[in-house]
Amino acid sequence: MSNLPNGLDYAQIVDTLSQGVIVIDREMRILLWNYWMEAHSRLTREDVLGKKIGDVFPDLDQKGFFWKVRSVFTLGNFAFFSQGLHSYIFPLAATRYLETSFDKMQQSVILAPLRGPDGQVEYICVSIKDDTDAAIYKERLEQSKQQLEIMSRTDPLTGLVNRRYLFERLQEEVSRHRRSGNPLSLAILDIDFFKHVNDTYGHICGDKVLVQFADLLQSQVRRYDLVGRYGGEEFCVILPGAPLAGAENVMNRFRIYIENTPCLWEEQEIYVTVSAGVASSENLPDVDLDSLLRLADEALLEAKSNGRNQVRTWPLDVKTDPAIALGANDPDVIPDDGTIMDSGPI
Amino acid sequence: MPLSLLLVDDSPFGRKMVKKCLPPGDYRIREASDGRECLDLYRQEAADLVFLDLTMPEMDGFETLARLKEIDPDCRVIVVSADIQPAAREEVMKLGALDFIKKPPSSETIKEAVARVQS
Amino acid sequence: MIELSEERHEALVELINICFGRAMASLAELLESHIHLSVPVIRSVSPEEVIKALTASIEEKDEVTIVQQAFGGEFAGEAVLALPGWTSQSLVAMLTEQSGFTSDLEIDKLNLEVILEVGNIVIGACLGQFAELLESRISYSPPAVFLDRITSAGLKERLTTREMGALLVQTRFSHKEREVTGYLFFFLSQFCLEGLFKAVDRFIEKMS
Repeated sequence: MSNLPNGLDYAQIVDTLSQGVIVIDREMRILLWNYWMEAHSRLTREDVLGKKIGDVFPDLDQKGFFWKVRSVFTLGNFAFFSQGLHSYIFPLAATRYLETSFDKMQQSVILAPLRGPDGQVEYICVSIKDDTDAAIYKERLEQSKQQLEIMSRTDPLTGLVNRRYLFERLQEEVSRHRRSGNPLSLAILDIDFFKHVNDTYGHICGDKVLVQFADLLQSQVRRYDLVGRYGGEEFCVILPGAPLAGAENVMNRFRIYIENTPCLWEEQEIYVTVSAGVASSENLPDVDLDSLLRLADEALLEAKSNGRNQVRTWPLDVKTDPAIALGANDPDVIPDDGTIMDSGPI
Repeated sequence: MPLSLLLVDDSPFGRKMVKKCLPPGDYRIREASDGRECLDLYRQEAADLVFLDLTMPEMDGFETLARLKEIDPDCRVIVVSADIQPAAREEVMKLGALDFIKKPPSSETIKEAVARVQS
Repeated sequence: MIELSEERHEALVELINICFGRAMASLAELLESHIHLSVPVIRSVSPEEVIKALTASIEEKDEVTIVQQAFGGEFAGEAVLALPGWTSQSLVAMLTEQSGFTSDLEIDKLNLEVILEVGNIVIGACLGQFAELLESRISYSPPAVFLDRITSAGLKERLTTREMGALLVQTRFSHKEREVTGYLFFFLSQFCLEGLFKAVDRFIEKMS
């Protein structure tokens, strides 16, 4: 049904299309191979016409191609291969060379039923669309999305996760704890007298100390603990699976470590100490994000008001002073002017 | 004597379609909207021909057919169904249906069916 | 919300019933096994009600695989087939065990591929039969075949529509060993409702 004049046949039109067109019969023999196919497969009509498509492209069966072909012949449906799932069906050379990792042309492929005079599906029209450009854009979009994702959850100064992501993860861990019943602990840490680092050495030094503190903290926790910056000179550690005593141990180990490990700035060694509060699911009948944060914070305040450079846990009255028990420096040695940094020998 | 028909389909439109396709003639038509109602009506009075749908809630057409055959082994049933899987057709033929008609029914197929019981 | 007279509703129920029978016959052929049909529930609903119906039967946290296919012609709209996660797994097992389906895709993509094909065949057969019965033509938009694994919460977002009424077809189909449940929805554009009603009226005229 067309108004095309005699002598102008469909094959000529099919040859002008900017997509691949193949027609196969029930024996899988190739009956039509348009110009686009010649150009992109580097196989001429003489090479392929009358041959079985599976002989021309031996990997087709692995792509589920013949399975769908059978379904089109029996059910008369249209069948599709999406680029997103298959990348490509026919191993044709990529059409783009710059800024791409694809060595094969990315394709979406449609199988359409063609009916004989009696209405039966006798042939299948296979059309192949070059989706490489779309796939490249999709890949770039995916990359930008990932970058944005990383940026949106990272604290730019320390490279730790930021407060927003920390809370997200804490919420997830709370849900996991509720499902599994495994313990969950949370620690909040605060660098003691940090204001004095800034006041004494300047803010550039303060930033440098925060970065090094973050790195040291990260290096001292367990592999599956999550360290994040809570704000200012405050940090958080989520300790999944750790009971209160375990979390307290991890924090105390770090407290002693930081006390003896200087941060370096312009060839000066700057020592800081840390106070920490730990709360755990163990002592809570109803664990949620807010209660964990609030109780860890209460324990931190207790550590602060009790003289700093110590780890306190919630509930507050259960433990003896862990700082003393572990032989930490007597908080009273801090001079009245508040300078706690021990600038070691230069 | 009018031909007594029993139309069984949960869909009123399904029953309408069969009625529409009946060739001109003298009929006494009773209708049931599920399997249980069909069995009750048939027990009250047998029908010359039952047009039976397969996909119905509660008691489906397969079970209805089997029970009808228990009540009356000579009961003549023609299945009219949208379930056109070959397995469904085989199953109802095995259960003793006279024929299987795809929905929507056509005047020709219904006419043939009626002719089979009239002869 | 699509307003339907009782007569049109009855006719439409029967139409969809026939279409669904055809679709399931195609699926049975694809799976090379018999599928037991239950009576489809067909209602004309607002999109909000679609979501309510779906979320009532699918747990908030459960994954749902959906296949979306746009269609055009006298009746334009979108068809959505939603399958709970475990149904997808059953279908994959049935296809690979019983109908010699082979593929070198990794398992996640393979699952999606199987669901895509099942969706394509169910929706295609259903719409094809619908067009045939109503003596109309429906053209599919192949690139709009779309699938995703999302929670029902995400589904709410996805199924938000501006001006469409939805025809909800909810049905369960089962298999000897494996229970598979599917929900099929047709979202019809308001502008083609008049055309739909005319076609349904023609069908009523012809059939009753």
